[in-house]
Amino acid sequence: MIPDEITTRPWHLVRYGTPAEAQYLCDYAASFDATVFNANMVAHAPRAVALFVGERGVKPFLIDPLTHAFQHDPAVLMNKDGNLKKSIRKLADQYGSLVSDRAGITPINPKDLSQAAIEEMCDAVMLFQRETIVKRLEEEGLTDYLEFAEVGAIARPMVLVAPYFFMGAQTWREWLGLNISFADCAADRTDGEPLYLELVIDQAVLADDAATTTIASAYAGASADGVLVWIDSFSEHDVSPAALLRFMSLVRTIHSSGKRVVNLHGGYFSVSLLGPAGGSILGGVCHGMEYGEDRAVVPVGGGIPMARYYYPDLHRRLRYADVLRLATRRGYLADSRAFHEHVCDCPVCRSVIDGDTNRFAQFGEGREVSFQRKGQLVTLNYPVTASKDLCLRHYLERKRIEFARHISIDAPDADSEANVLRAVVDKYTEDLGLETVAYLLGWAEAIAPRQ
Amino acid sequence: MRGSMTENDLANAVEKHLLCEGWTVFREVPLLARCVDMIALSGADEIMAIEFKLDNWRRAIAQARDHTIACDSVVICMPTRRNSDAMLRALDEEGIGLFSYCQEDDALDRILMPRSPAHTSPIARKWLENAIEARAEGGDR
Repeated sequence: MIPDEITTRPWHLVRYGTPAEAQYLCDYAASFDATVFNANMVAHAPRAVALFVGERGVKPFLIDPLTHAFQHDPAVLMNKDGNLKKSIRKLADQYGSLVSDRAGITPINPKDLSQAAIEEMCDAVMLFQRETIVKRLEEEGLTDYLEFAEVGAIARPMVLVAPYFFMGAQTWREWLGLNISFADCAADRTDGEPLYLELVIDQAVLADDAATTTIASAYAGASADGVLVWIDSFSEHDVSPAALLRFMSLVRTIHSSGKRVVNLHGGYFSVSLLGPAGGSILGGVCHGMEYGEDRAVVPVGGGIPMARYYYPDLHRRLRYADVLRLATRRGYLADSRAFHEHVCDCPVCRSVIDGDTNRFAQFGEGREVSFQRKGQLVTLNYPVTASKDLCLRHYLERKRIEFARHISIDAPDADSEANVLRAVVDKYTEDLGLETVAYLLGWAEAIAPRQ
Repeated sequence: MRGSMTENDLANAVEKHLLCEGWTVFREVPLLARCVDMIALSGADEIMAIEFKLDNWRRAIAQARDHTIACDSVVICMPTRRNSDAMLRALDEEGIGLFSYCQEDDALDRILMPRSPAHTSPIARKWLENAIEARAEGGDR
């Protein structure tokens, strides 16, 4: 169940990518509201996930069931040896006979989903979310000291997510009805738990007004408490202002039906939609550990974060070398006061700099790695673990600050937020070029169009 | 003549000239996330970065500009050609020098002398010095 303290406020969600990230989630637990697990991670490493939830995870959670994984060409689910990825195999075996039999062999198509198949899959997917972690905690003997109600509160997801399939520009008509059938089926099987749907679409669907309107209306009218939205590879930094407006329109339609809408892969632009600047049309935003502010639907799972320094004014991660050049050129490394005033004053940066801007080097320490690329020797500097750790902690601090800015009592309205974004463009255009910072103008235009 | 020359040929020829002039030369030196084609050290610890290009001077300037953060001077080096006003103006604005190499005469001409960069970073300088030191210790130029 959703804890009372976050029932009414916008959610800051963080994705648990790998067990190695657990420590960061614990260290920054006070700065976010809930954790999102991918179902294949729960299936593959149930002990690590259960221990995190039972012993360290002081946060409620939800599980993305990732049922879309089984509709794609099985090639995208294979490891480099040509075998089905272990985590996907384990997940498939939990999802009923249709998924288990097809995984890694042939994709699931709409014609395969009879009412009986929908019901079987729905039962299995709901059971997996409800019980996997509870069972594992019981096996570990970690539920012995808990009351029955406490087990539910700690080890069961705060919302259940109905099975879902990805909808492309050419296929949404085939999948939409099935996704709504899954929603209805899941709604019949809830036991008082909030039910969320997952709306996963190709960017090209957003470009089709009729498709977007039909899909948004269908999800707005579905039997559910909320909708988790995932637009394939929807980078707020790269898409056009028109795409941002269509995204907002989709969200607004579902939001106006009274459902909470959560962007499963969002950055600062989405965060601004949590508050008055964006009309509070989003009810939650999820991101990962530095990566995951946008994500491709396939391949399923995976993704290794590269250490980059999140540049607060620009709301994006930059290569350390580029930050160093920018900050040097603008005189922000002249002394610590200038650095904290113009670059970042988060606790991590204050602790690292500690009065000496030469310590900024700690964010970029690396080791030389040389390799052949297109017949030429290329030498790159790969960040060392300590640098990656600092970049990640700085990122999590900045995310905390960004969310707080837009859900606080004095959160900016659309005009003042747009003015801030436009001022940042003016500030950095000379150094970085308009093309590099133009996405901020797109964000400003989307939330407060100029007359 | 340019058609038969590669960037590597150009760098080899210039390296020979600089060694004769008393510079210490290192090739492909990493600097932050980039790589400098050639670093030349004078006896006075002056660090000069050289970026080689057969054509596409705009790309050469863009790459050279990145090196100004850690070097005392930065130049681009191209085979002898008719240098356009736009190119010379762009180089002058950035304070980047221009070397021109004539393969026929095996001559290296300093067309435009570089200026000291306006913005350097002690952090980047230290990185570059460490990289050069590692090359020197490894006997790898």
